[in-house]
Amino acid sequence: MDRRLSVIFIFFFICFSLILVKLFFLQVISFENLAGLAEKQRSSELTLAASRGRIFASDGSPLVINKKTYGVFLEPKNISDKEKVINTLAKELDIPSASISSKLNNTSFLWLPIAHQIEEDKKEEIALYKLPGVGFIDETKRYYPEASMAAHVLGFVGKSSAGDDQGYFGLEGYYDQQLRGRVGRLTQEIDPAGNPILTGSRQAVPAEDGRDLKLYLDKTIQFIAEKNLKDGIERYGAAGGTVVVMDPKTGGILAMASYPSYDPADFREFPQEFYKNPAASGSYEPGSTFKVLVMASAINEGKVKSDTVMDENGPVEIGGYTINTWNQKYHGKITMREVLDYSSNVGMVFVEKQMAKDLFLRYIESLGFGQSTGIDLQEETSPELRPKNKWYEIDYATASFGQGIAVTPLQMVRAVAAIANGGKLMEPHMVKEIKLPNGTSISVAPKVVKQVFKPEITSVLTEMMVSAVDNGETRRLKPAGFRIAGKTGTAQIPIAGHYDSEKTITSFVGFAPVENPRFVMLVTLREPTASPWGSETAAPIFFAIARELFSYLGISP
Amino acid sequence: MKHQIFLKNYLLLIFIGIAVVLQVIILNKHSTQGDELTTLSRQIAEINKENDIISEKIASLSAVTTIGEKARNYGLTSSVRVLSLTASLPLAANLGLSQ
Repeated sequence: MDRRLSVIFIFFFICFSLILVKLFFLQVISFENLAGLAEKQRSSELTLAASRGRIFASDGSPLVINKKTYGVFLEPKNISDKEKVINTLAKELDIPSASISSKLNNTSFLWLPIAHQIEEDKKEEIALYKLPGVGFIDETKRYYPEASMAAHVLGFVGKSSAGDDQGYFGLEGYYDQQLRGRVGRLTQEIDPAGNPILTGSRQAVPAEDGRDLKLYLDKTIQFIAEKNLKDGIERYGAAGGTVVVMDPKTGGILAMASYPSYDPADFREFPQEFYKNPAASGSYEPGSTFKVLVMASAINEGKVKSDTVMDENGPVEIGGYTINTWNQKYHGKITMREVLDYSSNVGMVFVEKQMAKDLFLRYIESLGFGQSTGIDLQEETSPELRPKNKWYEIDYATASFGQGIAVTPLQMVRAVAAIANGGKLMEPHMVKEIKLPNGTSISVAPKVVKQVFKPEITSVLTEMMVSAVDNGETRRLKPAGFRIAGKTGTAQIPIAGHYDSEKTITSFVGFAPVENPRFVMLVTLREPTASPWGSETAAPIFFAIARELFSYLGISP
Repeated sequence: MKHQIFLKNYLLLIFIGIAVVLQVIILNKHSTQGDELTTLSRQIAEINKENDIISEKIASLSAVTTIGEKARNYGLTSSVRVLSLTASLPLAANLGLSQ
């Protein structure tokens, strides 16, 4: 009897010892591992996506918004009918079936992305097949309601080297950090069904959506500018062109159009050289449009007046070079006003000679040439000015009529705006307001960089520019009854140390209405084939746009 | 006196018992309301999705390019002919600086 009791006792002792050992193994040795598994089982960690900021025109209408799309993924372990999945997805997504098949054959992956950014209706079509092992994840892509309008201004969103969304060029590039926002994180306890337990632990770092941008850009003015520029390029057989329309009082850009352009929704389909904004980064020699700035500088310094007379009796010799008028016509004794009316290169050399060299260069720098304007576009650049010790007599002479000096269209329109607004050089801006996700806004105040001209001098220059339009080559083009201040420009294109004998860059810069300028505009055309002259190519485009702007803005003659 | 103390203790016990039962009921109810939260979250996401689709459609239909195309199809053209009735004074004349 004692022996049987001992055996039973030993048996139970061994059993309980084994249980104790197992418990020791689970609760001490494997404690951390099992605690981690339990934590993982009962808590979930979600990344809360942040929406990229949107971009709006001045009237609040959207130029860039986010569109919900989906990524398609496969879970190979859950796929029962491989052939059906491959054939269905290949047909619906227009992907080679061999590509899907090769991905599925790689059995080391538990989760395989197959396609990105598919539209809602396509996702619903695929979901109808109810294919096990095929799932969808939420994605977004940029949507452009105005299609390719203002592509150079907006830029596009591509991927960084880490695979994250990143803005490139234009506003998307410049404001990338502000637009992209910040992802959040939610850690909470969940029940076996995956539902959150309200009384359990919960830690949330909310996502912060990107900031929205509201622009100075007027959608309608942009449309008018792009339409007329495109028509003009086709009509005059040009290689490309730009239009910049700016509010001279604020520096706000009302429109900025360039061709050739691209579609930011399909930027990969276009050559990379199309991405850069020619208005902000393309340099050209401004030609005769530069004369108004040189004239303004000389009058501002009191070196000449609008009725100062010079003798335009023939070409001028400078440092072994001969400077002619553009049409080989010489008018004898002419005033400074007539120098602009006739767009006389010889007259401008006279003006330049009244100014000291240092003074001349100082005004060029004061007007913002040779340095970036500070506009909020990623790719803005500035051509460099020749170093002071590299300026020779002929360089000053040619610069007086806009040759031998390189500028961007944006620099040019900003400088002329200083004549339109009483002498202030403004910092140009695309963005008027930045809207935070919490509903508050940050206004971008207009910035006066410096007072370049005296206000009374700008009135004189304005009248001279009105006279240039009324009495110059464009007198038959301007809308009747309106007073428009402007100047044509025709510049030869420098190639390999000399000027091309046939190709030109034509331009027209001006502002209206002169009593209270609502816009200053520059039109440039590159290599028009119908005519090399600004008065016959860029000027008609300028006046066509101006005509529509007068109607749209309600400006009476 | 003894009777009063006994009554107070008895009432206190009853109160504690009711509180414990209530706590269990409420916690149990909250603990199982997670699926309602999930359902609500899903509904909110669905409504947000519908709002996004509607916003997209509005943006697309009100686009200047769309309106321009429709206007052309209806035969509408832009007419910007303006007749001037009076001429205004030169700007600089107002400041006595015109020459």
